[in-house]
Amino acid sequence: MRPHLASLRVDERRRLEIEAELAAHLEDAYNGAVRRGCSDAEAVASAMERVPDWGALAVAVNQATDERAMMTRHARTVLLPGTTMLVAAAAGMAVTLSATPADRWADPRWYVHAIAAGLALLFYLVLGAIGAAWSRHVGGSPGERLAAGAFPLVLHVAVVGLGVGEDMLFALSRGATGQHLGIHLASISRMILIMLVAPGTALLLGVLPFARLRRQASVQSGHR
Amino acid sequence: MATMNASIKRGSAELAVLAVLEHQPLHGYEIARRIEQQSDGALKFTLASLYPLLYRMETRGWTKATWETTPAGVRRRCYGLTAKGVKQLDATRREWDVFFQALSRIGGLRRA
Repeated sequence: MRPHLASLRVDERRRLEIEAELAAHLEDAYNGAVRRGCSDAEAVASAMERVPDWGALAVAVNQATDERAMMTRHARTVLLPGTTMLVAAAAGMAVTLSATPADRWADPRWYVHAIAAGLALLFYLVLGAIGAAWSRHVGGSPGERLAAGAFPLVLHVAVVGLGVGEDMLFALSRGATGQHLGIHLASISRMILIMLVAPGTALLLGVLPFARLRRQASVQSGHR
Repeated sequence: MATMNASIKRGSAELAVLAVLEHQPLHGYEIARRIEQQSDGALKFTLASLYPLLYRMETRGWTKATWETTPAGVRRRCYGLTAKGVKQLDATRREWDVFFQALSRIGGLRRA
């Protein structure tokens, strides 16, 4: 059986399992045919009818195990680093909201807001960088690094979606008019800018060096 | 049409395997034998159609496989339904029921 399944792309332990399982299946088929009164040659032929094409079997098993590997890979290179960064972003938001005195939000000094915004963007830049670096460390492709680094944006999309949805529902419940929606378009645009564009840009800036480094490395190795 | 044909085949095979595993864990040969027997020979699995499907189901968490040794000392990899697999079976049954009802209405099919 081993030569027939030489093209399997699995580790040795898994290969032995698959070979043992398929061999047991063929053995059962042979025994079943013998019990039905077939001769030895007929029983062998009956069992082998179940594998009309060994090549197709190897390809199909590879496709199934690739799906398994792909799911594990995405969990390792995108979901784990991405979710961790998302939780860090949520924790950062929660701590900032609970630790900031209410009057500080209405502070008239512009530079207080500028410093706060700068620190928030720096925090997101670091989150994006850590997410992408983590993904790269575990073998993530540039696309997977980008997804892992930008993952905290999911939280922002959810918050903005809830905010906009709630606003729309409120407006509709009050008999919304085009004028009302027109007024709110400005605040919605500002919310999108502050909640999506700014943190998204910071995250992407953090991701960028880690997406590019691998490319440079691969270019360098290509020149050698 | 080719894609639909493939997805219908895969979907029906998934339903058949999940259904025979509903009551007890079975190994690959027994799964194929029961499906063939219960479908009066209409559904037959080759190794290339059965095992990749079983591996996919295991990956998706619908089944859990364990090696068991028969009283004769032969080792077999047995597949049993997980809670997720039971839910999937219910969902797949509903989908096929809707599908067959729709086909019946359109094509005037008779169900056995």
